[in-house]
Amino acid sequence: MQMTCMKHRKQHQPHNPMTKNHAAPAAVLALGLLTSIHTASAAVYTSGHGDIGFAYEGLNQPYNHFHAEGGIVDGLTSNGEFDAAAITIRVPNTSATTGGTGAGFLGIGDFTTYWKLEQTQGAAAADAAPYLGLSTEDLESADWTNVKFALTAFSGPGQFAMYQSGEPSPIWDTADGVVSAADDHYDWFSVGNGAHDHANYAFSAVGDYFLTITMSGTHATDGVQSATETFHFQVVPEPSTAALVALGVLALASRRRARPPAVIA
Amino acid sequence: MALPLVASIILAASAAMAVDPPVPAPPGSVWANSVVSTLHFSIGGAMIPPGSTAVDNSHTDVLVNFSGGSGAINIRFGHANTTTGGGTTLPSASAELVGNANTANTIDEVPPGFEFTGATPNSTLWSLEQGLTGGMIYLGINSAETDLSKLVAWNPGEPAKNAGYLNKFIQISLIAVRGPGHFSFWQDGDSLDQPVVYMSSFVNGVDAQDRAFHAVGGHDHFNWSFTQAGSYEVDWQLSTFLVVPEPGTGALLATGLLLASLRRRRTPSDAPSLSQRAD
Repeated sequence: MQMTCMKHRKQHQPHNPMTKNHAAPAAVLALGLLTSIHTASAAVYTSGHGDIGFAYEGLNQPYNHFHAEGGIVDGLTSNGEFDAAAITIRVPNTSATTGGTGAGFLGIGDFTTYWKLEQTQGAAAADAAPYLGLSTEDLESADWTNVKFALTAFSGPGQFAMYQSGEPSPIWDTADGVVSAADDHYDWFSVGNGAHDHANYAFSAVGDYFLTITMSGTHATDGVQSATETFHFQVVPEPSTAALVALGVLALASRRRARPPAVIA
Repeated sequence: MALPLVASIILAASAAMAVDPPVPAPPGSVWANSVVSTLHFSIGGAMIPPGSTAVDNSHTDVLVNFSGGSGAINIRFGHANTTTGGGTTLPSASAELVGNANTANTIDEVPPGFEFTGATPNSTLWSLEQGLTGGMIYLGINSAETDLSKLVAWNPGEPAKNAGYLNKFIQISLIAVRGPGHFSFWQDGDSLDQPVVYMSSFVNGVDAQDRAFHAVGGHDHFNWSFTQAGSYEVDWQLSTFLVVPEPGTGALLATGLLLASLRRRRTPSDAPSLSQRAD
């Protein structure tokens, strides 16, 4: 029925044993180390274009990282590369929204607020939020086949979904589990070689999310290569919540100051 | 690059190729229009004109930049990186953007919300898709090479087109479409039946509302749809608010010299005495 149903979509494959076999153990390890690898010193990516990227830096050295593409990191325009553990991707309150396909993918009601990094540059810029893509632009395209990004583990205070607008099903979603052989979507995504693509990233609650992403592919001479890293997404609280807390503290402080001195008759 | 005139629809906004500013000019700015440039599309196997470069199966951007105070449209394809460039850049007149067989969508019924495409039931709609899809051109727009310091922030006041806030925008206006069918330029929306439509030659022909606002400095991707196979020429014009140039050092020096010269010419004998002034 939908216009988009007629498009050629190849991302959603039912099962990929290669990715599953390589990813799961590393994902479990990565989740166990979450609190230690993401420190307060991580740079914060707040707006503009950046990509989660798959690079290959030599024999058996796949590199799963974040690459700023002129986006704002720690308040400055950046074109730098960051290890996954060295970057926090900020999902600002300006990205709060309701309804749309995202609500369905998160398993929430149409009138429930959720937070979404937008797929398009125009919408992301309107939110003053990151315009986040997935990239294999650092790969020599002639050398690679079967390159894909898989969500292999997840933790967070709510649900997460990555999807492209106009599509009837998500690419990655946690509401139906992650890395389950029975999962119809089997959360992986291909952007081809030497390419990049964009999607929406939706979160159902405020807080810190840790997405473990396994990037894998087959190199023409080096064989199957795989790298797993965990990326930190920080969905900031609504100003109203923070403001209410601050207001409460302020009111208490004022009350203490305003208390009249005791008078002894 | 001439199109066959048979069965060709010509839709144009107006004979005058000057786009008016949609809002009053911010202080210290002046509205500037680029020349009109033509994007050439070969849809569904249409012939590639001799001398043109066919661009297909590649991440390709229509470069929409204002640099040096004037806007220009070019085509870049085969670039490995969105920001740092590379690849091949051609004037828009030399590139034939190909919508190959993979861009064909069979339309049984036109889905609600997609009437703007001009598609009809039991027809084919040719769409160069917004998302990266193997086997077809991945066509975006890119303004990464615009000199931001020359532009003034403004609010187009069109939140439905992601342009309801203050930023440095380049307005992209559809001026004319020449081809056998209709052209539309749009993005998928939050809901399946609510696409964001920027340009449609089907809805009210080509008029002043057929425009997009691109937040300068990045790139973005869109759907480019055509209702018939064949060759199309799509005319675009870029506009923005530029900084009014400050008087240059040279101009200030020349003014100073002129004033000094006038002062010298006015000798003391010519000057009125205090007594004369008192008179």
